[in-house]
Amino acid sequence: MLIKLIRNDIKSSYRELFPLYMGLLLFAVIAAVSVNPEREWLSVVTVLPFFALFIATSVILTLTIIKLFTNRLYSNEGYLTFTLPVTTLQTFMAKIITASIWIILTIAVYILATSLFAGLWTLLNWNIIESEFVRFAYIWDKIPWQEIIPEAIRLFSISIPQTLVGILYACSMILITVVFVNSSYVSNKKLLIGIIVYLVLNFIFNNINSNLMTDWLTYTDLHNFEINWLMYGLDLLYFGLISIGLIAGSVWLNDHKLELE
Amino acid sequence: MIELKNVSKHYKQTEALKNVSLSLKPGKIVGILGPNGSGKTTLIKILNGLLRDYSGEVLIDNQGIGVHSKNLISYLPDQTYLANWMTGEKAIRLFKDMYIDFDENRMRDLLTKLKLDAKQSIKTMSKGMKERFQLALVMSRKAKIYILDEPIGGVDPAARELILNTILDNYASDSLVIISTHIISEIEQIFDTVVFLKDGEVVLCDDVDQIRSTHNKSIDELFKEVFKC
Repeated sequence: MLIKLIRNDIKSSYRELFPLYMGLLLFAVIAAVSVNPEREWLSVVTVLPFFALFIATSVILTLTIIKLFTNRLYSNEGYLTFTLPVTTLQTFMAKIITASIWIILTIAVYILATSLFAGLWTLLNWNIIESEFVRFAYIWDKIPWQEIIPEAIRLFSISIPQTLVGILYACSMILITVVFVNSSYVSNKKLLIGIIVYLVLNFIFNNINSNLMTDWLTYTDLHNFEINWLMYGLDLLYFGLISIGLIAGSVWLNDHKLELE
Repeated sequence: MIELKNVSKHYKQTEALKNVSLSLKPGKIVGILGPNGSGKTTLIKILNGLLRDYSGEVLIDNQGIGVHSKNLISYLPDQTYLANWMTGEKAIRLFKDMYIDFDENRMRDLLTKLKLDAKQSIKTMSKGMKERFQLALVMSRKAKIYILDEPIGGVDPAARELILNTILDNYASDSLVIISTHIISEIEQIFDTVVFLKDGEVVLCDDVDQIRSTHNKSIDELFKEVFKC
């Protein structure tokens, strides 16, 4: 059932994001082909929409996720959503997993579009940049790539669980806020109350985190950093447990106080 | 099949339901009758798990509201609930995925009878088409309980007949059908039992034949008498 719910949630939102993903990849190629110091006007015409698409995708992604947790749950569509023969937890998890899929896919498209732009542009303009590259080759040679690359890979690897827990925390924060304003505790000014609840909860959780724990990552210089594994683990555990608590709270609140208008 | 014991619900200062106790058995068509604001939709929303903050006890097939009750109930709300991004086909697919008792062949038959095209997007359907499409979806389930909230409210007399025929032709005789309405005259013939709701209270709950013989009046006449302003 959970997979069927996720499939339905993906179907409800892919039309908003897929054209933007296609646009980003297309404009990455167009911008890479057209950016040339000899044709500045053309570079502006193609690079600007490329960057505008990055901003538009972020905005649409945010709106899509908010819509997933509001319109798809508590507007008229709620009359269908909450009468399907599934548990509240399944309904909520489908939304959280769908939102996570869109966030991860968007990050992947951003990385792909940027790499496509940079790689293609370098390839097409090698004759222009080659002389500059040779000029700065002595700096290039001094960069300790053998240290930087493994460290960067290590940093990227350890940031993956942090990102996933961050996504889970963000989704569960939106969820509890939306569930609360659609409960019998709130009958009017739902948007205002929702924003206040979200900001207050976020402030409390982040303050507890920053006051109780120290940073798990400290840089000794540009390419050297140290990881405090205890703090790293505690940070993951803290936001992981809060997210689970928020989801459990949302399920309880919905099952006991739901008031669909 | 459905048991309500002392169910009360209030919104802030307004008491929408007051100690409602009912026992509804399968094989009956039950009319929940009352003017606007009498608590019909509140009662129906409680039965469907859309209002959870109430006092009293609600049992459906001896269990509380949950996955089991949602599997048993085929619910038609008094508003359109299909999302605009859907096409008719996608809505059919969703029902087929979610309800094991959904009969796709019956759905296709109903679409023909109701002159609807499943390929059309929900966004481009008129309000009446959306309502008929939802009715087709709901009546295509071989459910134990059908709960229809104001199915003929706001539609013209010709469409009312079509809707009532769709309901009568497609429910199983051993199922419980609950229809809420404030339009009595055209629908009273189909009821086996009626429940009169007034200001959130059950003022009458009896078999139609019993009511007619006791009061020597039609349900519509009795309704007008009970609810006269």
